[in-house]
Amino acid sequence: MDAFQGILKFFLNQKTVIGYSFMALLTVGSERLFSVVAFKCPCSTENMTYGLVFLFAPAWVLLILGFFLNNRSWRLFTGCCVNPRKIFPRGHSCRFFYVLGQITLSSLVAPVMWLSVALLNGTFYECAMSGTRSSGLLELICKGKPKECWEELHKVSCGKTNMLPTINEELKLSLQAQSQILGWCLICSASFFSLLTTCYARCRSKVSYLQLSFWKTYAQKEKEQLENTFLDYANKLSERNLKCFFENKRPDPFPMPTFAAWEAASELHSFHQSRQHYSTLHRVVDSGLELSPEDDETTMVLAGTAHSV
Amino acid sequence: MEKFRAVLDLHLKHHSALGYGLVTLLTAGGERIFSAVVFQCPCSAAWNLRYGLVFLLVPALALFLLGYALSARTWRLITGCGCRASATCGSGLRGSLVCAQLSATAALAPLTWVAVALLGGAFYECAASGSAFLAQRLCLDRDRNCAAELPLVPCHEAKASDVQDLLKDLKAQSQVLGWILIAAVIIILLIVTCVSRCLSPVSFLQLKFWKIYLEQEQQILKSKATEHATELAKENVKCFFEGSHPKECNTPSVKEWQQISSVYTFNQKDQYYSMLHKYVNRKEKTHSMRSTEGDTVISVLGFVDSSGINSTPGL
Repeated sequence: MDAFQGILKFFLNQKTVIGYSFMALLTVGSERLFSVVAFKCPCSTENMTYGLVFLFAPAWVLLILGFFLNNRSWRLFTGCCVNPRKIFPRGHSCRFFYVLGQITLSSLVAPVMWLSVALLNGTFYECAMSGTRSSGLLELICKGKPKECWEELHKVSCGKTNMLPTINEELKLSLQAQSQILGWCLICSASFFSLLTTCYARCRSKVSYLQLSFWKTYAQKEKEQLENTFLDYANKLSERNLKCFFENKRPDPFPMPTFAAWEAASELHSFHQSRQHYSTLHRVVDSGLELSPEDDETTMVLAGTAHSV
Repeated sequence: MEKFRAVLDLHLKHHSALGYGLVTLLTAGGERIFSAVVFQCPCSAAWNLRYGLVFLLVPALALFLLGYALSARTWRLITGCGCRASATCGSGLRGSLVCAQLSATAALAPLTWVAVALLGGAFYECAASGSAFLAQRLCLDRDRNCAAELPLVPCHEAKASDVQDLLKDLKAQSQVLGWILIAAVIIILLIVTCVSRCLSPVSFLQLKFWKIYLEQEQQILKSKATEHATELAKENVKCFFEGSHPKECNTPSVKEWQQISSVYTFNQKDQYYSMLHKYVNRKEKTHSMRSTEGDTVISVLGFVDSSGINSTPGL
């Protein structure tokens, strides 16, 4: 039982890694499913549209789903039309775009995974490229091949061209090879880019390493506490209301935060070195519900860290 | 037991996403079963188009109506509407906003059906091979008998091989249409959700608290209603068998139930989380709730009406 608890604790500590691995497995699984079950290259002039749609439409869907499932995007957008000052505070107009950029970057992980897995497989790219009508690309692919290549390239995936089967196979393999090279290049450049951005963000961080670790722990705990308190208060308030309804009595006063307090607590957080507040709630509670942000400095903390309430 | 509770908590936190995921899976599974078992293209020029379109669109319509029927908000809006004054039914604009929201939620399952059916390809292949307009476009540089043989293509009975190859084209068109539909629907969904959140007068944390409050209220309403109903039933049955007079039971009147069952309206000046909350906090004890100036129906607060005694919130 202890060993089991230990293992469970280990897995819970590695939540991010496990989350990303699970996402990768899911992407690989669905790509295999698509290419075996649903994808059948039509071997006609529509190859390019077909291949490109199968490559990019799932990536698009994953990107939008990433936006949906990110709590920060809702925190950013809720109430922004009613009170534009909330997202474009005086002197910090770029903060909105900065946060939007962070959300987009973290939503791009799943589509890039899909694209790399799809390119490594090769079927989608092969189908798309064989339908190309651009003379430059055709020359590149059909170099040194018989002249049927130029007209019948789109039938290469189904093996129904008038060329020799060996040449057919050669063309297929070279297209698949190109696809896999592109896939690896994408993986390498995406990982390098994410390493660069993480390094840059950490470099520019005004917060030290240990304090950052503490900040992440604090954010996690505050999130849990907030949910427990919400549940508790919601329970008490609904008990009081229902009791009064069924027994036809007047309700006792029930202290709740004001509208302004809720608004203040929902703002996006930025860290200021002199005051060291670890969340918007911390700042609101400490400053006695003061609303105007002064000289805040935004620390570049990457997606998935302090603001994931 | 602890692990089971953790799973249950996860379910409660993300029940909306899980609900939508389940609906999508069920629709996709149902479509696969239909197209594999039930659907058999007649391969005739007269019937292909009609058969394919019926299989594509009629289940979608059925799912749309089912979506309306399964939403608690529909019943909250409709129940008692005919007998009461139109003021409680809501003005034209409010009613149409609520209707639009209900339609949008009910449209999820039919759109999933159509998208999965298009990705599968069988229904579109059958319908398109029977369409004269598409036959003209597809048969441009082919056999003379292409147009005549096209309806036989889904059954693999076309004699000319290049006409049979058109099956792959049809399937490709179907799948491309399916993906375009999914991409368009999801971006529209994102835009609509962003706009409704943008126009929300309520902040992020308060909305979060609000959803938790509604769940709790629903649970406690159910248990209190059960308790109250049991007491009242016991008293009535006892008095029936003993022939005695029942003691005065303080049960809410018809008017009170009506007041808490109407469609929720938000007022900037108060912070009431449900019609029940509003009713309990009304100014004078004997007066009923009146519609005050500033009461509006907010699209992002649609989840308030979805709670009831028996239904799942948010679905």
